[in-house]
Amino acid sequence: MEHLRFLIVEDHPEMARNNCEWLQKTYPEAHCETIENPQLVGEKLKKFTPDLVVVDLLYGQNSGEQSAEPGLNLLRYIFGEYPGLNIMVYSSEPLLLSPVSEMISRHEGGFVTVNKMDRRIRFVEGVKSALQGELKIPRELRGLIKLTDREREILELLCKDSLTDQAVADRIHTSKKTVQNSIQRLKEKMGIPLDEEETNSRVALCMEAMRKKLVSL
Amino acid sequence: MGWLFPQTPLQSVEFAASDMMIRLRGAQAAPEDIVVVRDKGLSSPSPAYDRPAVAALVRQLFEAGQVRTVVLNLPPDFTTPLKLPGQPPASFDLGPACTNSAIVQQLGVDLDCPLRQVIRAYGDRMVIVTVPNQSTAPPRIEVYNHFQSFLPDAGAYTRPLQDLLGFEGFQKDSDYRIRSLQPTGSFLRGDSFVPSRNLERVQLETIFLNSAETLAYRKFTDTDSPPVKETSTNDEDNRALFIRYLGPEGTVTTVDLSQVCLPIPFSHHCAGSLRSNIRDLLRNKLVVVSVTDQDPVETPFGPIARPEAQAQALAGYFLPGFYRQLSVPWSGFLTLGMAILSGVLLTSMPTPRRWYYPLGLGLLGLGYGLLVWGCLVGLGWNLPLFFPLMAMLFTGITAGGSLTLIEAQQRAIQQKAELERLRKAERQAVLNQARKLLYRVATDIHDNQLQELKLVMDGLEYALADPKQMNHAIDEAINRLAHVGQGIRDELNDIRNVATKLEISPQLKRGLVQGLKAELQTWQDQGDLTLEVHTELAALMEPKSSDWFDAREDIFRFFREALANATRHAQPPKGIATQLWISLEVKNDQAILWVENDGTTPPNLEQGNYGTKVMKTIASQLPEGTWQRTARPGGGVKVGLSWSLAEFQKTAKAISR
Repeated sequence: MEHLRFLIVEDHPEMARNNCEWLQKTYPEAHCETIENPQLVGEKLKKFTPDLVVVDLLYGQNSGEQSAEPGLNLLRYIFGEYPGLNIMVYSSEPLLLSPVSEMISRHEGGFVTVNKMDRRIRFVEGVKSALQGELKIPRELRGLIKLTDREREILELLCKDSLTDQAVADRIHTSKKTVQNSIQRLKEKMGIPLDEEETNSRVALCMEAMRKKLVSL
Repeated sequence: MGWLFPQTPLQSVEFAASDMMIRLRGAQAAPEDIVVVRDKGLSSPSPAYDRPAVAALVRQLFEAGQVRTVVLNLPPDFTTPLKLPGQPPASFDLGPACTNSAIVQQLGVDLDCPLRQVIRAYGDRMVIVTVPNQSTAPPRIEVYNHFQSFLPDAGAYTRPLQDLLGFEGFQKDSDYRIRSLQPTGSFLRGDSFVPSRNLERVQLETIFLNSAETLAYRKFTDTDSPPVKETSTNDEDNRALFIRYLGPEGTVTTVDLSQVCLPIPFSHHCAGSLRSNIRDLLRNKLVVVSVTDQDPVETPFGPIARPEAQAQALAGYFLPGFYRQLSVPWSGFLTLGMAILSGVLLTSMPTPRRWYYPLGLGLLGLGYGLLVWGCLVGLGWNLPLFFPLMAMLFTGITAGGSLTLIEAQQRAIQQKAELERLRKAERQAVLNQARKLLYRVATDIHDNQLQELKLVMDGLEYALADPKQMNHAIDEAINRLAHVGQGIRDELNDIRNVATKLEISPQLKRGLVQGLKAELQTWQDQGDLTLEVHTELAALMEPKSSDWFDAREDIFRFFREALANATRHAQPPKGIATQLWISLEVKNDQAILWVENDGTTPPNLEQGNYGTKVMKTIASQLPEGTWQRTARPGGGVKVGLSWSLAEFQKTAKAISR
């Protein structure tokens, strides 16, 4: 297995170092790089394509209004230039993501937000989810997240035609893993608890889709 | 307005104004053709002229004096016939024509006869003045028909009454002054007796007469001018003529009665003959005669003896004629026009109106006065003066007063709006300040305490994985948490400060420069600043906008930070500084504030602390704002903040528009 590569965008040096240490603790062979200035990430990505970018949202500005902008601009850049890149937002203010919620909906790579004030276990879980291409966002942002055309199509096949993951993958000519990721994203976007039993959560997904008139039988 | 209120005191003022203009013009030479003969009081006591004596006087004027025309004012008691029964006394000398024994035996002594004889002889060159009695409508006049020769066979007088009688045409104004002359009029006949039954009906009719002055002029010139139709009721013919008085009494050549004819009681002869110099004076003249002591006439030149007033009125028929007056509608238009003109001129003056407002009004009034004067002297037009001036003044004062009031109200509204704008700008600046400070506190907590807290958590989580490190980790965590607590407490203090800052700094109410001086003074008074202070603060034209008030608060905060740094680090006992220089330089749109001290220069000037962070923040939020902290030549620290004023001035202009 190729060694994982992480890029930590964090303006607090000690926090960036800790982030790397926890990643390397989880993935001992992983390569971790840190960068303090989010405006330099573009140049970095041209030379170095990580498996996961851990992004802080707030940067050391003197004004709260301005502090989120560098982080949000970085996300906009990644959404535009690297639509398949896995991203984990590690911030104490994840709700500041609302201006880019539309772009999060369309992002094809993993996108996970973890509150910086949570314990490190959440950090590690978030990293794993993001690496698997999953979508995990705060509950407050779910209402702002919209379904993509591909997700609507999968929802239709899943709920109306009652196809299995493999059948759905065959129907839309993609891998089973992609379909499963899309189903996970659908659950996240529609607020279905992920810790329920798989069959029950899929039923709940379809019922929620019918309630919202996204699918009609 | 005078034509609206003809009997009001205002009309009297108009009359007075007109009289004043006439008097200002001064006396003018009387026509040489007119002479007045009246009792000037040369003889004492004044001789009494009975009816034969009046006849003697008139005959003397015509025969010895060779006058051309006589205007005769008779005494009031001459209105009725006067006959004495029986034979005349021997002392009576009424002339042969009046002492015919048959007539005397039949009618008694007829004392009217001598004058009747004179009128019969010279009636074509005589005018007998009859005064209308205004108590009836139409007015009644005495026709003195007992002085007329009646022709029984013809059933008529030898001369038509209209050809002999002229009424006194004076028209009295409401202030009892005579200013105008009525040229013609219709009157009730007041016959003294009925010479024939055929005339009874005629005597009940009205009689149309010319004024004595008009008739006299026609007889004197022997023309039909002025052309007066005998029965004309044409308004144009009957319009009153405004008398051009020549001057006060004595302006017209006047001869005393006694110089013409000393009367002999009941005699149709005069005592003595006419002196040659008087004859020369009277020859070919129009003579206005009065044998009675009548009330003087009130004129613009004061009281004038009635015959002279008649003579001066008569002079109007000679050159240069009567004054002309505007008709009532035209006077109204003129008054209205002056009102409009003054209103237009005064309202078109630039604002604010100050001293030139009454000056303009005065000049306009003076201009109109000169116009009236010019018309009176040059053209013979007697224009109304008072009413147009009053209308002008009234309109001017009213319009000016109203405009001044409106302007004052507008100024008050503008001042109120300006104050309100200022208040809003201050409130906005306070809000901006509060918002910035709250953001700064939030940012600080995020940047410092939250990060610190996370690191503590990380440390503890590391220790969980390695129990050997637990004690050390807990100890470090406690220390770091204490630091976090201190930091949070500082931030909370800042928040409290925010609460107290929810108003514009009182020191800055009078401007930045005054605020800096006041703050320095406060620090000195409180003993916080002991250095010797030198200030050089340039005047700053401060825009009145919320942006500037907000920025001013920041600049003031920068100043206080710099001051605090100087007192903490450079002032004894910690430092060695003795002097502090505060300067504000303004060049074009750029301003720079310097705070310098002569203490030691720290080696780590580049490394900032929290104070420098505030300075950096403030500089970054000002337009073209920069700050610098450098070593001062010769030792010490020099801190400067520069910013651009252009943006604030632009905003202030936009707001004021």
